[in-house]
Amino acid sequence: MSAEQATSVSKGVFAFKGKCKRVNEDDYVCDSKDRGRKARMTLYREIWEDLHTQIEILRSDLNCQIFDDLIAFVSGCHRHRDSPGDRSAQLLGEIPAAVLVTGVNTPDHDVMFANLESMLKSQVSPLVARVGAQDNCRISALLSDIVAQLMNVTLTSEEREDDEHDAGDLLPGEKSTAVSSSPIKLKVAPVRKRALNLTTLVKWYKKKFGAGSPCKSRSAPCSPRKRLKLEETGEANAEQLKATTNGSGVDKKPLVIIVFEDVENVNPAVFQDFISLCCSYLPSLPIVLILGIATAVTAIHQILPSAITSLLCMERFQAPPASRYLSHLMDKIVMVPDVAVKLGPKVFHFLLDTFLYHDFSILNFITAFQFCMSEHFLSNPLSVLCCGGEEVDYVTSQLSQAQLEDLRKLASFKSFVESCPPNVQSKLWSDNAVTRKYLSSALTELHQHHANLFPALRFLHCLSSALPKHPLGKQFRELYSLCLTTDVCESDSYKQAVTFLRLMSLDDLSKALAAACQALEEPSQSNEHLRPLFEEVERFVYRLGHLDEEEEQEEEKDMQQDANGVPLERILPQRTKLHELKEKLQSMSSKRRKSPYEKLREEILESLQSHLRRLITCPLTLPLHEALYFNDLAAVKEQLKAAPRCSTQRALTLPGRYLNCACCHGNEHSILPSMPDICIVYKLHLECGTLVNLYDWLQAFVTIITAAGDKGGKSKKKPQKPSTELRARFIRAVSELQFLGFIKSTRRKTDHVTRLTW
Amino acid sequence: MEIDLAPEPPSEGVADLTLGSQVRCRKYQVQTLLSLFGQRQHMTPGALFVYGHTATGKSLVVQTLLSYHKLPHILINCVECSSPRVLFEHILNNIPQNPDADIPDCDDDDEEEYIQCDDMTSFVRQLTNIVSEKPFGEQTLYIVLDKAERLRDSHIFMLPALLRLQELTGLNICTILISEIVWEKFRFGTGFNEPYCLHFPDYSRHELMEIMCLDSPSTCDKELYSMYINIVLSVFHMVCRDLRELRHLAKLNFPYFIEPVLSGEADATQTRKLWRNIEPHLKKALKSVYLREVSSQQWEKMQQAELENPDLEQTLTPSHRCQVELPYYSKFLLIAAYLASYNPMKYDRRFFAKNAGKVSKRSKLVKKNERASNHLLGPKVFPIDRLMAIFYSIVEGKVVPSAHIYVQISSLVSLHLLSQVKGEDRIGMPKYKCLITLDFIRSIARTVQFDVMRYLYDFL
Repeated sequence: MSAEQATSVSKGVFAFKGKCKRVNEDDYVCDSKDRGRKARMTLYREIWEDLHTQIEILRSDLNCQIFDDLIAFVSGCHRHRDSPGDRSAQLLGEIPAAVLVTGVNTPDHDVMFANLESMLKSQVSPLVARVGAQDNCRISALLSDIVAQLMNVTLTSEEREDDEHDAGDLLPGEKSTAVSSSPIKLKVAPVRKRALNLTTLVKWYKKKFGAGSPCKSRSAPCSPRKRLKLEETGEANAEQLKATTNGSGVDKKPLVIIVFEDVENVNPAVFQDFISLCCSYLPSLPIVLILGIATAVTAIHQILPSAITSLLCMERFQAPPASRYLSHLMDKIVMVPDVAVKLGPKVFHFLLDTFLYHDFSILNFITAFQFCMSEHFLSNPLSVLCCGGEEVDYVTSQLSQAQLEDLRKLASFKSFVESCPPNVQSKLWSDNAVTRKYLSSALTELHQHHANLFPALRFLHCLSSALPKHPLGKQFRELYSLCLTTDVCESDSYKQAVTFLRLMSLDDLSKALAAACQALEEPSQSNEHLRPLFEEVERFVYRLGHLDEEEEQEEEKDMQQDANGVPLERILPQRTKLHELKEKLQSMSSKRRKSPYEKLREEILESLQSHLRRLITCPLTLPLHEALYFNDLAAVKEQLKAAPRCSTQRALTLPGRYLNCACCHGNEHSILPSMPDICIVYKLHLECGTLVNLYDWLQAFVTIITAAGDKGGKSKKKPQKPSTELRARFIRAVSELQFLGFIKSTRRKTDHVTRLTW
Repeated sequence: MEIDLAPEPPSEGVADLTLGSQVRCRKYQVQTLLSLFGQRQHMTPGALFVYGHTATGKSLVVQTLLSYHKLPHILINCVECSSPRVLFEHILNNIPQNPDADIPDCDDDDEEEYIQCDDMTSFVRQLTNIVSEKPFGEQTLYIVLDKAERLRDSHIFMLPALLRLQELTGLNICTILISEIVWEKFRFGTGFNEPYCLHFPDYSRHELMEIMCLDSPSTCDKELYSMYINIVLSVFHMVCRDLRELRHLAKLNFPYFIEPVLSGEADATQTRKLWRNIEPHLKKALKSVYLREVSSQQWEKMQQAELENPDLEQTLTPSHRCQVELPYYSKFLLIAAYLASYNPMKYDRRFFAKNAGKVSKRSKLVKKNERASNHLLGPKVFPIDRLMAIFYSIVEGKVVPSAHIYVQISSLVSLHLLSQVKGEDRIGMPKYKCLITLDFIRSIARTVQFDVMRYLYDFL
């Protein structure tokens, strides 16, 4: 659009800044065909808001422990600084450094460090600087970055009242950059970027928090929580504060905390310089370093020589492994009855595989889950029924005529109708009231099933997780995925697990049963379907604990049975073959008198199995499950699992599908002259070996192109020389192919190129 | 300000060579420096060069000397000065206001003009202007450049000009360079004004002991502490002479030494008993000299855990140090990279092809001779195609070559488990090297039930 508008004598490329177009969501959502989309979108938003807060809470919970430790360490640093007696600590000149081993799930680190930063700011000291990996390749840049961060932060926190309306609506992350670029900031601190070095920082720090100006240090930024913390840290701290000469109510000087997010990727030379500099400024600045490491502490030694590490006083903190994080998340989000949207087996497996096999990233997992949700609401009209168990009646009663009509057109509704009793079937097609009623009852049933299913699965998991070879999986998610794909009670692994359970010793069984019983206790309070199971298990646990009482009763019965037992000799015929004898003996041994424990065990397992069979069935067999379950793997894969090479190759082999034109339709191997040049060239080069002769290639290309021209006339004369146009087209196609990375030039043979793909 | 309060540098005869007992074992150096400095108004040699190993008290002596006698000076760490401009501006902006203050006052006017300076000429001009206005005008101004070896990387005329600063400005200025390397290594280019070189030799064992005894906590008897230091030195002096490290070690292990004395188990005079008590701790610490992985608190925890169950800890610690958690395919990629790095390329066919070529007796014989060489030679470079080929042949099931897989390779590079040798993009055939050890790869392979040894040419 730009070239014609610009009037200029000289030739050139002109950049026109386009307007930033915001996508109007109504254009997307309000499709003429699908009227319910808007309603579903609001539904999606509500559910996602809910989930999002849950996820946030989960996140802060999980890192809570390690952050608490870290903060305790950091606030404990430099405690003896001001006390005059401890000369050694001062002279030793070690920078306290917390090494935070974060694990390799790199995409998540950003969130983690953002949390850490805000926690440090609120609880320890307002002076926190965060350094990413890539931005600093020179020591001066690194220093000015850190100093700018430190000085700006306190500026905003001190003059928050003034700045509130200026920078109030900016995000906290943007604040520092926004403030530093605004003219207001320049007026306050006339320090140019060039002059931002540690000396400036020292001066500034002295001025702000120095002992010489008590009035200023009293107004030093200090959140009430920090003051609380200071009080908590005990008498030692308080005494020390009093001991300082002018310490009447003067707060402790805030620490200077510098967080390196990814030490492995920091330029080692710069990092070494930085540490030795920090060390030389340690007497005037209470610096604490926090070093984030993805792999292991040994990485530090790969980066730093011993002269530098001897300046550090490190303490290690290990973040919990990502897989634990995942199971935590899945327990709360994916595998609970409360969250209405569920993942179907295929999508569930896909997300899980992506996490475990590829990236270990919780962030990606959550995003993928969110995508699945939005896709579910966007593409499935039935998802209008997706809601919590309590709202089912309301939602179904709110369905409009049009929505019901839409629903009736769906395939899943048809199968739903077929599952209903025959006398209502016809009504379902016409009578709205009946339809609503039946929809509501079906959905309630689905929710009820979920409420039963999950506790029952957990119960089974408790029992089976300790079995040898883990037939039902170590993790709950394995059992759940089995449940989604098949009927658990019919599966082989379930049978195997039961066999193992039959062989369990008294101690193990009673322990496992007690644990399982505990898992069942809470949900069974409100759910009458679970209660019989719970009560029965409780009884069994009791009986296992008091086995000897049972023994006495049993013995009496046994005495009677023994009386009419048959002596051994009678069973055995006089002459038998060996294998017959073997069989006989085996059958006898199985008939052998069982101990009371074995009997009880048998009874327990029979009872449990009947209960589990009742409670655990695959939810995907229930009618209308499509409302809750999202199982469209193709859609997710297309969006989330990028396979650039595959799609490029497919585009080149089957251009018709992409261009949507009739003339290019052919199968994978056919080469049509109507195809784009690059496709022809690509298909031709597939027939060659490692090295492709350019001239032969050109000839083949020309043959195909010209074959189209003289289809009618059978002029078999050899083309003398390809025309300039054809050559140009060929060269262009070849260079396009090179650009895509399929070939490259080689020096091994003249007029040849190398193939790069197979 | 009252200049009279500042103690005049006393004449050499009565000089306090410990500088208020802050400096030990450096009498000769302090004396030399003092005699070089002379009286306040005396002209001092234009340039001094102070050198010696790490932790031999160079910076300490110079700094304490200057601040103890309240001589006007500027301290600069050359690490910070990435460009000449930073150095110039640092000096110009930090000229002490009056000779009494150790560090320039910053309270008087915070809106003070920031002096800009871009090149040597204007630096000399501005310096002359500023210094001649100051009240200490006639006294020697000391400019201390710590880590002076960095100046060599700066502009070629930087070092000569700084050494001739006295000559260039015509002022009473003394430049002191502090460095860890000898003066000969500084000589490049021309125009040097040969500085006066002052060497700080390493501390002898006796001196180390004297200095380390200064750390003795107030609760502890001096004699007992010096005995402790003697023990520490007897263990560590062989492997480590760095004062800083030694002090760290001494501090770390002192609680174990003093514990029996405090609890009353042993008397302070029972040397043998105390020695027997501390020896195992020190031996353990000897294994991790210079590592600095643990702070004193964690060290304590570790030692306690070890005392409770000694077998467990010993098996855990080394593996725990380098344990890395990786996604499933990343592990296989890493294994593939290791195999590619340590196996000769021509044997790939034998390891990974379905019908492996027969090994003739002669080639077996040849192989015997060059055995164990690959692991001694270190990792070799391999192209990405070979990595992917090995990866696909060792991984179970079908893996789509999606972007996820390629991202994992680059994330392995960023974790420093692989290193990219050349080739910026995928088109240009990037080449990699595997950076991990055999132990590491074995522990990784064990987690995915892959017998890596069976595929390693060196261990066949």
